[in-house]
Order: sequence, then C-alpha cells, then structure tokens
Amino acid sequence: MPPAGKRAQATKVESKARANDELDDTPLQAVVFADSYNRRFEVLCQDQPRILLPLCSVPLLTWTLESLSLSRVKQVFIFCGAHADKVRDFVESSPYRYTMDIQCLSSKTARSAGDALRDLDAMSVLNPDFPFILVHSPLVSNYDLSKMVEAHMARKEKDKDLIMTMGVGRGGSCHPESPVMVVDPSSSRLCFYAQNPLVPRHSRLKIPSSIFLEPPPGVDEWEVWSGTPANSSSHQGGYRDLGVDICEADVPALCTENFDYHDLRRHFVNGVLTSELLGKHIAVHLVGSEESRGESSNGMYIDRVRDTRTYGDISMDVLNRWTFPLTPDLMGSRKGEYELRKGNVYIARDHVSLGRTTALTGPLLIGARSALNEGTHIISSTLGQDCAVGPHTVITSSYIFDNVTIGDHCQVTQCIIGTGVKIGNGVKLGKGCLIGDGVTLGHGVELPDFMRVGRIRHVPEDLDSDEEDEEDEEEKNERLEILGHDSVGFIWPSEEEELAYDSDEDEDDLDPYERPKNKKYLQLGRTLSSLSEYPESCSTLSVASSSTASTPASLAASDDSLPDMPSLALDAVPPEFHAEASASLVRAYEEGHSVPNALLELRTLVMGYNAGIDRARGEVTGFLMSKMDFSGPAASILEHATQTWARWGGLAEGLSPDLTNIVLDVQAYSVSHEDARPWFGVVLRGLYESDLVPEEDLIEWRSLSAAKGEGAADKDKALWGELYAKGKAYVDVLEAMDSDSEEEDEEEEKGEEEEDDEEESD
Amino acid sequence: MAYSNLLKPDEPGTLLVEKVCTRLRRRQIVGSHNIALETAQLIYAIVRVVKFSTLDELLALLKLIGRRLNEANPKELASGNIVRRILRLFREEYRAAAATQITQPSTPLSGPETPGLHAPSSHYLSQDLSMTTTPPRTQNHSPNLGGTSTLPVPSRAPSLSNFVAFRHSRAQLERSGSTLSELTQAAASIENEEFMRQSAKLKPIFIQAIEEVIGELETTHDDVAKGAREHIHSAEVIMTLGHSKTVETFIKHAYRDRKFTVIVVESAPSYLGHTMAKSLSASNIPTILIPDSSVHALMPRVTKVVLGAHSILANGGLFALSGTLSACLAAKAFSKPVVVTTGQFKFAPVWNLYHEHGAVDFQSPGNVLGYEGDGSAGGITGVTTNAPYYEYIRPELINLFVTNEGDHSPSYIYRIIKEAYDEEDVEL
Repeated sequence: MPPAGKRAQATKVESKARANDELDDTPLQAVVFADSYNRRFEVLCQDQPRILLPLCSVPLLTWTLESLSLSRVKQVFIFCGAHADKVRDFVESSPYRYTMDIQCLSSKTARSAGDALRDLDAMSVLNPDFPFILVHSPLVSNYDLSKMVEAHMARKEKDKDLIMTMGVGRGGSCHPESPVMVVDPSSSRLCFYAQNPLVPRHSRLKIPSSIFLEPPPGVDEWEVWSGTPANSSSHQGGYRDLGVDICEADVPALCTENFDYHDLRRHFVNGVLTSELLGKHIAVHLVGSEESRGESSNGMYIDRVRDTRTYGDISMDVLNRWTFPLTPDLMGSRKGEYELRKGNVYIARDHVSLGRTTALTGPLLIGARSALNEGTHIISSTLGQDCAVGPHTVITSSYIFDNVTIGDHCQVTQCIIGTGVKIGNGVKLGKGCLIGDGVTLGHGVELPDFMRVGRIRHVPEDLDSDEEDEEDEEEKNERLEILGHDSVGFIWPSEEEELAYDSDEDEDDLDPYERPKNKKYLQLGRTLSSLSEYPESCSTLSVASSSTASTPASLAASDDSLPDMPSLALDAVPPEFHAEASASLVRAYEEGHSVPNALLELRTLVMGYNAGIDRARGEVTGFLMSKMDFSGPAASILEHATQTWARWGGLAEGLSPDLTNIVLDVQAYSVSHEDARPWFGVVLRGLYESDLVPEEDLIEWRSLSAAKGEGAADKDKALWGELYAKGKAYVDVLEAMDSDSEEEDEEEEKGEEEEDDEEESD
Repeated sequence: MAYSNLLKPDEPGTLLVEKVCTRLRRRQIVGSHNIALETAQLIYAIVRVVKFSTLDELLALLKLIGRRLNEANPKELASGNIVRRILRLFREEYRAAAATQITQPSTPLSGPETPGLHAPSSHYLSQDLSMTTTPPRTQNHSPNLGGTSTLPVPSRAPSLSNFVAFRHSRAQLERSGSTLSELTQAAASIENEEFMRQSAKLKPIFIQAIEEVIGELETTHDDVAKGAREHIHSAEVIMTLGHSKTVETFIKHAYRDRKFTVIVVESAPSYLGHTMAKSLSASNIPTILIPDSSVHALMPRVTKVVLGAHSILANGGLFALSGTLSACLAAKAFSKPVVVTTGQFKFAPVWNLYHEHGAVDFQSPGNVLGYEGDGSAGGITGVTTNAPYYEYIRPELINLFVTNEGDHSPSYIYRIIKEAYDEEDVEL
C-alpha cells in the first residue's frame, strides 16, 4: 500500500463525488472509426466509406450515432480515412448535429487503428481527465453505454492504473473472430487476451505462467472466457468482444509512445497486458452485469458490423426487433416511414407497388418507391429505395441497396447488391456474391458462389498504381466468359486468392483473423455449423463417407450435404494428410506405441484434415502391408502377417465400422503392389488367424461385388478378379471347415493344398 | 406548410422539442401520464420563450410541435391529446379576450389580458426552463396590473371583431389548403401592429392555461380515485392487471372505506404486476399475485375487474397492456363487470388505429427470450417471437369508464372527445 493511504482515501471520496458530478457535467466523448482498416467490404465501398453503407436502408453511421446519443454521449469524433468528405456531408445533413457535437477528423495517412489513435493524440481534442468511448466498427445497439462508463469509473477508483475497459457481451453464435480471455471475476481485470480464429482451430493456447505464479494482489482465481458457445445443445453462447472500449486519455498516448501498435487487440491490449514496465491494467465489462434499476425500456442488444456475415445477421436481428426501439417502423429520418405488417414485414408507405401474386416471407424490408412484380418472391431480405424487381424473381436472404433493378426469372441468394446495380433477366447469383455499386450484369449471367464483382478493377494493396494497370488478356477472357459482353464490371479475386498479394507480408505478423482460411468464414452465406468441432458430427461425417466411398458416383451426394465448404468436401483430402498419417504410423511402429494411443493420434489427424476414416484405414492397411516381408517362404510370411495383424490390426479395426473394409483395403493394396499380389491368400489367412477379421466378415467380403473388381478401373479389373479368386478359395475352405467340424483336420489339409503357395513352402 | 419554418434550428425552443422527441423515440419517457406531463411542460417552456405576432402563428407552432411529438412515438397518443387540449384552451381564451375587447371598445385594455404586455420578455426567458414542478396555480395572475396606463391604446377596436370573423371563415380555407398567411396579412395589413400586440398580450393567459392543464394532470389520479368508494364495495374481490398508477390510487383510495381483496395479474413479460402487488401490499391491502395463465381460472371468484388504459379511442375501445384482452374476455364469459379507470388526457380523437398491425407496439424478443442465446449478438435464431406491448380492447367488453370528469359508458366517449378538443385540431 502506498504510504499516503489516508490521503488517498480522502481523495477517493472526493473524487467519487467529483466523478458523479463529472458524469453529469462533463460531456461524454466518443470516437468512432469510420474506416475498418481491413478490406472486407471493399467491393461495396468504392464510392462511399463503409460507415455510410445502409443497413435496413439506414446508414450504419446513423445506427452508430443513435446508439451513442442513447448513451448520453455529447461529443462525437468521427475518424475518417477515405471518403472523409462524404462523411462530413452526411453529418452536416443529419439531425444528430442538433443534439450532439459531431466533428469529423480526417487523416489520409492512418493505415491502422493504432495510427488513428496516434493522430487523435496529436490533435489533442479529447478531454484528458475523462474517459471516452472508442467504437471500432459501426455499432447497432440499444444498450446504454454510459453504464459501462460508470462501471469503468468505479473500477478506476479502486485501480489507479486502469486505462481501458473493454466491452464484452454474453451469448452469440460462433464467429470466426472470437477471443479467449483470462479474467479475474471479482475485479473484472483482464489478464490475458488471445485471438482465437475459427480456422485453423488452435487446439492449444499458451498462457504466460506469470499470471498464475505472481497473480496481482487479491486475485484468487482466473476465469477463462471463450468466444465459442459452450456446446451445441445449449442456447447459451460464449463471450464476444464488442469492439467498444472505454479508454482513458492514456490509451492514445500509449499508442504514440509505441509506434508499433497497429491493431488495438493484437498489439495494444497484448502489449499492455504483457508489459511489466507500463504497469497499466485493462478491465472488461460484461454487458448486462450491472444491476438493473427498473429501467425496463433499456435493451441489451449490442453488436457491430465487422464483416458481411455480421452485416446479414444484424439486419435480420433488426427486422426481428431485437434492437427495439431501434426498428425500421420506429426510427429513421422520417417517422412512420415503414408500415409493420404481420411476420415482421416492413413496407415503406411511400408508393411501394406490390404485384397481386408477389409473395413476401418475412422478416423483410422494402424501401420507398420500390416495385415488385407478379410472382416475385422475397424471403428474409432488405430492399432499398427505388428498386425494381421483375416477375418470377426469387430473392432470398439478400441485402439490396438503393436504385437496384433486377430483371425477371432471376435467383438471388445471400448476396449484397450495391447502389445502382442493374441485373438483367435470368441471372443467377450464387451464395455470398457481393456486387459493387454501379455494376451491370447482362442477361443470363450465372455467377458462382462467393464471387465479387466491382465496377472498377481490384487493386491489390501493395501494388503501385501505375504498375499493371491494364487488364491482361487472360483476365479479360475470364471476365467475358463469366460476365458476358453485356455486363459492366470486373471480377475480383476471391478472398483466398487475395492472400497471394499479401503473401510477402510476414506470416506471423498477419492478423490471425485475416488469414484467408478464417477470413473466408467472415463472408455472408458461409455456414459455420458444419465446422463444429464436436466428435459426434465428425463421426457422422465419417460414417457418411464410408458408406459412399466405395461407390465414387455417390460422392456428389455427399457434396450436396456440405454445400458451403467445397474445400472440405470428401474428395478433396489435402495431400498433407497422407504425409502426416504415414509419419505418425512410422513413429508408432518404430517406437512401439500402444494401439489405442496410435489410434487416437490417427483419429485426430482424420478430424484435423476432415479426411474421413476410410481414407485413414486405407492408409493404415497400406502401411501395415508395406511392413510385411513377402520374400520368405509362405510359412514365415504367414507367421509374420499374423503377428503384424495381431499387434497392429487394432488400428485398422478401430478405424472401420465394417471389417470387410479391411479385407477390401488389403485387396486394393495387393492390386497396386506386385510383390504382395501372390500372397493375398496368406495375408487373408493372417487376418483370420490373428482374430482380426472373423469368418463371417470374410464370407461377406466374398459376396461383395466390389471385391470382384466392380467399380475398379478397367486395367485393374483383371487383377482384382485374380485376387478375388485367391481369396475366395481360402474363404471357401474356411467355410467348409467350419460347417463340418468333424472333418476339420482333413479340410484344413485340403485347404492348404488348394492354396498352392502355402503348399510349396511346406 | 406556411409555418413549417417556425421551428428554426439553433433556437432554444427547437432544442427543447428535439430533446423531448428523442427521449420519446427512445422510449425513455413511457406511460401516458408521464408523456402528457412532459408535453405540457414542454409547451409551457416553449410558449414562455417564443415570440409570436398572431395567435395563428402560435397555434401553428404548437400544432407543429404536436406533430413532431406524435411522429417521435406514434403509439403515445397522450402527447397529441395534450397539445390539442392546450390549443383548445388558447382558442377559448382568445375568444373570451376578443369578446371583452368588443364590449369595451373605448377603454384601454384592462382585466386579465393586460398584465404581461409590458413585462419584459426577458422576465420569462430568465426563468429556469427545465422546470420540474408546476408553478402554483394562481387565480390572481396580474401582478403588474398598474402598468397598463403606459400602454399604447389600440384605437381601432372593431377591427378585432373583423379578425375573429375572419378566423372563422379561415377554418374552411385552411382545409382547402389556401395560403392563409397571405390572407391574414391582406386582411390585417392596416391593424397589423395592433393584432400583434393583442396576441402577445395574451401570453400570460396562455401560460396560465397551460398551468391549469399541468395542474389537472398532476391531480388526475386523485380526481379519478375520488369516486372509488362508490365503485368498490366491502368484501369484493377485485382483479387488476399490470401496474397502472390510476388503478393503484383508485384501489388505495377505496381501501380507506372498504375492506376487499385484490388479485394482481403479473403480466409477463414486463412483470409490471409485481411492482403493483408490492405497492398494494405495502399499504396493507390483501393482495394475491397470480400468473397470466390463471386469469380464466380465477375469474369466477372475482367480483370486478378494474383496469388501466394506455389510450382510449373515440369509439370507446382502448389500448391497454397486453394480457388485458384475455382478462376482459374472461370477465365477459363469467359476466363480471369491467371498469376502466382513466384520466381524460388519454382520450384520443382517433377511430381506426386498431386496424394497423403495428399499433400494438411489438417489443424486442429479448424481453421474452433474453440476450444470451446463440444468435449473432446473443439473440436466439430460428425462433420467431411476437411480443406486443399493447392490446386493443373492443368497446363492448367494457362496462364503465371512470374518469376525472365523471363516469361514462363506452358509447359516450365520442361526445367527451368532441367537447374536449377543437375540431380544427383533430388533425394536428
């Protein structure tokens, strides 16, 4: 304790009183970042900044300002990068300037949130004695953030070194950007923060031992707050980072001191938490944890538009009235602009024309002066103003901005379509397509899933502007092939391809959320459900694969069941799996691991690569076969085979629901390996004698059409048949032997006779 | 509109209106009574600061404010009702003043309409605008009566009667949308100065009228409760729903003379019934709290249903907290009387509001489901939730309205509304 404890206490009382006064008197300040400092919305943001994109026909900035003024914020600094003039114009004409002091600060040089805070520090516009609210992304909220400020000030009383309180929400679905936080529950102090991308899933997390060895005074236990939902059955979500911070003036100052802070979470928060030198603390605030004072009117909905995925989710939440009273029928520039109809259908009162057979399936919103034709079906979508949709067009879960014309017989599913887009007749847009402002799509164009089309060409970040300005021939051909001659617009590379441009950037320095595999799931239209890591779902996946793998033709069906993840489809097992699996097998074999351990390792690999257990079993049997020595006499081969199967057969057994599959795998191996071919019968006998495959399964194998070579390539068909004959002979003997147990010995003799190879060795 | 530029930005009045509008829009002010009070006080503050030359200018301004408030929260009809009521009072005062003027053409203005004339406008401006308590209602509101002699005397008194006649015919013109301001100016060009003074002079009277309205609002609950003992008898079992201040006062008032039991329905998901039950039992009234699901089961035991209302429409139907309809239907099934207690400020001159789907004010599903689900921001996906806050109750389900102006049957409501508001103001 400091020696001046008494004085501190005195000032504490004083400052508490002062703090209360100040909350009333000092205007609460907020800083809004208009720029995202990432490129997720780029194709839609060629003419306007992200913060002016409409969500339910209301610009995101309006939502943000509404949330802030709800929180009694008096002064707002909007920090703009590109299109600062547009933001300024918008603020000039918005009604919020009557109730709040809104200032636009612009900086062309800021390339990251850290830069923005440094610029902010240099401008010294913030009140140094009072915390401000930092809003990272456009906010949609009916929560009173001033409660968070109060909580921050209360904590600040106890902990002088507290410089920031991060807003954390409870609940929420799986999101590719989910953090893992280690928090002291009593003081809400944050001690560790890690970004935890969804893909590739990190099964390990490093937490510095110091927080356990030397915990701050008064901390008895840590709580781990994870972003992922606890389990699939409960409706309780995990914890989400709201991107709303209550910051002291120290925060921009610290950014100025440490010029390498770019990302606020990855650099700043981790920097402050791990630095002994700074001695600053960060707290978290759980929204809704404050005791309610009977203010039932205040909601607790808070979320931010981070990417196209959350854009869609939040639009639906708004239409479903989670953000009440911020709903289309109650807010907006002119009241009563929308009429609420049954099923959360919002229709503007201003000259919307609906056809007699237009079908509307809510929740949806249709802007003023829009015209929908006969047979048009709109499902869970938002349409801006002055849109026209032709007859028999189906629009599902799509977000369409103003002045869009869509022709007849089109299909639009889970897309975002920018302002002034013209779409011809019979156009099919795949899932997750983003169509930038002013693009025209000609008649009959079909866009594949997740295609991005912009009015101007995509400019990679690190490319000099005058270098490679022209579209090369190959690209032009591709464009014409997909978009046709009537279209105006350029195809942007998909999110994954975009990595190629960024690849010179240091992998370690790249934001884990921005890695293409993870980034992919930030897109509208990607489903996360099939990504879930629960073993049940994995096993169902593999059962499905084992039933279909033997008949390659049915793979298409399994593709359909996983429509959103082409790269994870079963026929596309990455080659790494083969390498990893065989390495793991070699290790197990040479170091003599126990079968359950080796099996566990293999299963992990199967799940890691989503390879399907058929693939893994094939790998195992292949490996075991390769370990067998086929050069000696039949007896020694049999002995060796039996030993090998007895020792390691459990691996194959553990990976196959049906033991005949092992026999098939052995057969397949023998077909492709000449040295093993003559010894197929012996190996089969080894399988039987090591008790790995019982007689019934061998008999079943005999009856399989696949065993006879059906479905195999033509050139291998003969080989399959040959091997089948060998195996069949053995199985026939086995069967006869069993059915007539008295003649067992004789039969066995006979069986051995029949198996020429064995006879020879004897 | 000719007066659409009345609310200029950057004027203190505009800011006040904006402030109340935002609070209304965000549901930071809820409840008809609170809204009525807030509206009356807003207009009180506006009338004090605003400079107007003619009565019409003032009325147009107030109408504009009323429209704004109504737009800010179309479900809260009380704001519009209060504005209409104040408009009505202003008109009456003006006519009364005009009549006085005509009868005493040669004398300088005297009586109640004179005092504010020479009072410096800064006198009103300097007062605290965010007044929370009503100034005491004074019968004698002319402290500066002695100063009247210094006033310039309007010489052409008959012009006033012309003006009133003019106003009358303008009602029709206004509907036809003609440019009335031009008309007014043309007609009154000669006596323009006088008119200006005449209207401005009435300001204290107008302010007094608003004070009257505020006073009325503040005593509404007690006024309604005055007749409570006539309605509730000893050993009755009264059912009520939610937490209506009017009903609370009514029951407490009745309990002074009679001993009875109250059954309070909790009314999920707002659970306002809980606070009601606590408040009643704190006053030693035997109180039973029941869930909404038990309303029908307990109705045979009940002798009377006493309800509060959100707003009452001209056909005698009303909007009330959701759950009320089921209570009314149950009461109908068991032939129990349903009494609605309400202040007059809830009587709205609208008829067909209930045709609109959104009129029942659908709330956030978060009130029902909570905010910790698996949806994008803690919502619950795949569940469609309908959580209306209000319900429309048909007039035939109501037996009696107990108001601060006497007891009425539903079929008489239209008459009260007709008397309470000027026809010109029905459409704000």
